[in-house]
Amino acid sequence: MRRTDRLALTCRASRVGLALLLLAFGAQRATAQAEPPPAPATKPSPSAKPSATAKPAAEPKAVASAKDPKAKDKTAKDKTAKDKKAKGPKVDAKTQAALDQARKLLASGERDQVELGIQSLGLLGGPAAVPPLVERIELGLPADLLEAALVTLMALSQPEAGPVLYELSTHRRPEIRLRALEAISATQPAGAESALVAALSDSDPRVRSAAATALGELRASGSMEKLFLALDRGNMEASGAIGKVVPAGEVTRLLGYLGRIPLHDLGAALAEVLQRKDVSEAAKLEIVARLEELGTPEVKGYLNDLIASAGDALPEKLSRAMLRAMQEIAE
Amino acid sequence: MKGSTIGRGTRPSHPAARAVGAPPWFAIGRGTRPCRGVASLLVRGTLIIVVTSMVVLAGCAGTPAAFAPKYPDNDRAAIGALVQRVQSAPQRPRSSVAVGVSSAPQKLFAYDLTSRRTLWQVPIEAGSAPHIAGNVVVLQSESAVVGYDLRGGTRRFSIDSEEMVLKGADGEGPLVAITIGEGSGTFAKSEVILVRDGSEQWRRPLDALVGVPAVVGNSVLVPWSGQFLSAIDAGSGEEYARLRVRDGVISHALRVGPDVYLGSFHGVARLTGALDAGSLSAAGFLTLPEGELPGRPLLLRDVFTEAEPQAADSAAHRIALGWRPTSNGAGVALQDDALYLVFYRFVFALSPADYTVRWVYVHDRDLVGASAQPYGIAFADEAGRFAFVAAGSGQRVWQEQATAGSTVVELPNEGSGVDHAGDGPTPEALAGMLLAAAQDTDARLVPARLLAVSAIAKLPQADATANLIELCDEGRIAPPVRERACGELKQRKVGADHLLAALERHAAYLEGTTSPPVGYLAKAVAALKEHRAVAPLVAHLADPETRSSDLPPLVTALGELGDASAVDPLAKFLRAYHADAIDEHLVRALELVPGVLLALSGPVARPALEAVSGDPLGTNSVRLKAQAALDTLDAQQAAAEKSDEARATEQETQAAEETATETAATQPDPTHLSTAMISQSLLPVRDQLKACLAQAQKPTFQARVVIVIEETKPVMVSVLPAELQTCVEPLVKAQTFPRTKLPKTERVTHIIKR
Repeated sequence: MRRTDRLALTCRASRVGLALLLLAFGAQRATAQAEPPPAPATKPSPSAKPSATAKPAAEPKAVASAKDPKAKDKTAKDKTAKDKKAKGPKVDAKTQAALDQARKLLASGERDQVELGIQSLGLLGGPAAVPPLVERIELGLPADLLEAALVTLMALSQPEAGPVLYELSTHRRPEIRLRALEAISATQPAGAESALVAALSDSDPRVRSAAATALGELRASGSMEKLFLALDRGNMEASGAIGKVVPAGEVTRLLGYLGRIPLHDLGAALAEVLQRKDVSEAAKLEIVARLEELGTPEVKGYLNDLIASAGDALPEKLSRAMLRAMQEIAE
Repeated sequence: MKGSTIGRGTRPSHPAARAVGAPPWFAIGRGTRPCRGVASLLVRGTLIIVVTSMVVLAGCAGTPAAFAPKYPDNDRAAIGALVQRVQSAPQRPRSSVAVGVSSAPQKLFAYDLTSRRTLWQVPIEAGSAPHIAGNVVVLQSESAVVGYDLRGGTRRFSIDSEEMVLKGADGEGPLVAITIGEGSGTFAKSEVILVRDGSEQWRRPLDALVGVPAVVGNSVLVPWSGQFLSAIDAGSGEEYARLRVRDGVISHALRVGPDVYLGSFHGVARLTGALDAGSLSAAGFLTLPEGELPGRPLLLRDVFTEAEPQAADSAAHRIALGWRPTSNGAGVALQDDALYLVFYRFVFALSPADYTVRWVYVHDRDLVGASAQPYGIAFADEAGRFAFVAAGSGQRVWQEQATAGSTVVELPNEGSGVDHAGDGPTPEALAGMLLAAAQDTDARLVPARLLAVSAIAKLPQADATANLIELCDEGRIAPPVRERACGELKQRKVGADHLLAALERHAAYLEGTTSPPVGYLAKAVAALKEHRAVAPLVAHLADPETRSSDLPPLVTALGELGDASAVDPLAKFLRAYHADAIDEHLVRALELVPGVLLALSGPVARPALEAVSGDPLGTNSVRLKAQAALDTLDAQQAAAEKSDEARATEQETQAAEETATETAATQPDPTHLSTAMISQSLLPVRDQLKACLAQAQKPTFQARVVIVIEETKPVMVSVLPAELQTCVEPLVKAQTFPRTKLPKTERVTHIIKR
């Protein structure tokens, strides 16, 4: 089957199905061709006044020293790498041809052609597909094509897309912001934490929830206070994230929310903590004891579900304590 | 007729004569014999009655005591007498009693402001507001006009007004003048009634509209028909003077202190002899400034258009102007130079010159009556309380509970017992008063709250800008109040720091902050040319929480501020959304960006504009604006190129001229004039010289010209043949020859050949 026929066939598939296809295809290509991830960015310090514009953290600059020949070499190497990055990774002729074809489609000005170009880059996969897609996004797209481009970037899973994703995390459409955060969560580019923390203050509840979830996925311990604040302000997804990022020595802080917020919103955090290996047994037993004090049927159900889902992951002593608590709680 | 004594020489009535019907007494003078019977007596009696009645009727149908149609007006002597009587009238005794009608069940009550106690209450069916008239309080009650003793509350009189309604009442001591009326225009009918010690003394009807009277000593002053004021003697009920004005309306006569004031809702003048000219304005007429006040209250009631008096519980009593006239020699002034606006729960003290707000007092209940007094304003509220607010400070001096509740109260124009006006509020305190008034949540008070906002906008201090920002930022405030505050921001000349501080804020859910009113702030900073605002405005441009409706003024402001640092953010904004028309406001903002980019960066904007105009996926209107900007850019560049070319050409020409001049200036003078030089100098007239040869009487082939040249000019010309002298000489003498080094004259020879 010729290449154009394959592309035409793909176009007829639904967007959701295509996203799944791209996710699978792109992940496979990324594994095969992935470059070493860049050095982690420095965390931005939390500002007194929140800014709606998320600025990604700058990548670390190489420090040049005229006296140190090794440093000089390093600087030269970094410069070469930077130039290389601007031009895109080196690709074979076949891939280059596909890229050129995709660029042509993206520049066509016809909606269908642009969409085809986006999809073709998704099918191509790999880091080489990112620059043309980013360039086209930066030139401006209608909402539906922009969303398709974002889904494709998510499927490509390349951290190079970070800067454009940060820009789009402050787009005027909440759907675009949501997609951008999802893509940030999937690609985990440098500086993701600050963009996600800023999004905790978004006016759209879906965006706030996605930001909280993503921070949990990112294990962004630096955002813990903001997550607690978000929990106080009713962002229940912050609960699960807190469960993932709260330091082992501070888990009892979660106990202060027992009785203040619905158990099923706090449950995600407690479940995370109870299954973490870095949290002490004593702390876990204290959680169970406090749940037992609540003594509601809801607690009983929660403990039952947790035991059923965690299974052998829970230490024996903890399991026994949970079972005892369940027995103590009346129906 | 037996015993008839009618006439002399009358004959007994002849049946035939009676049948004719001629009265017997006609016959008396024509030789008839007198009728002596009963019939004759009856006839005579009837005649006497008829004649007597006719005499009486004739007497009554003569000149009425007052309001006669042909009574002379503006008679100097009469007006002088009126003024004299007014000036010599004793001052009214001070009264501190206020009267009012309570809430249901209705009661008429009296309250003493000095002793601060209720004097009496009586049940009443009140059909109008009460009027204080001397020792009596007068009001309409069903179809009667009733009077109650001011101090005791006993009923003094009841006058059946039939179809007429109470227009006004006034009094001094035992004298009470009441005016009632009905109808309008040519169908109007009125009456003036004088009551003395509770008994009706006289009535004077008139077929015209009547106004509110004043009792001054033993005179009753009655305005009527809009133009007239009749002065009626209280004792006789006879009119003794009539004033007619030609440049105004008189609907009220007012006695305040020693003076009488005449006027209407248009204005008032003091009664002086100057009014005999028939001009209110010539007598020093006080009018209110141009401009509308909340509720459009009138200086005085428009009694001529009222079909009936305002009901006792009418809301009209809660909107009024409070003022007390005084004489300032030249004309009329206001007590404490204050005009009070009462609007439900608000009292504003205004300048009578231009309505500048001096202070605003906010009460907790509606005011149902108010009266300007020395040093302030006394008022009553619907909760049955009385209070006094000082003229200077706007602070409440005292408040007392009088009744359970009131619907309307009339207060005297003195008697509250306050002897100082207090100091005016500081600018900051005034701003605080006005802000509190503007932020009041009572929806009925929006017109007055708008006045408060406008007053804040006129304050000179920078903090007033912060007050306006606060109002503009308040999402839950009444929309008209918010819009007025936002609109006034643009007019402010101070307070830039407050504007910048407001722009620093962004919406953040976790912090519980909201977006400021960016659009209005942008307009304000642009008006102030505040360049420090560029960075915050750019931040709001990129903020997705900035309201769409704020984007167009934001873009416009960036253009007006003219800072090039806004170019890149604007270009980025245009690129990002030019193909995504989220809403009409965003599209409008995008349409503005090309023009702004052009203004800020000129040709540098070309790539961004071309990308947008050439994108088929872009919103059409935005693309058109981008194309229009490109066309403008092209035209500008073409014009610039043309201008450059012209300038270059001009410069080249100038350079060439300068070079020629320099060259000439640098060349040395020749030692003598050569043949070539002479020919060159005569070149301009060469053809004419040749023509001289051709036109000579004897045509000749050549001529010899000897020229003596001194200081470049020919001083002598000699021509051979001589007949060519007259033709050649002027031509040669008109030319200039090159300067040479020779100090003396030079003699040269030139041959002219045909």
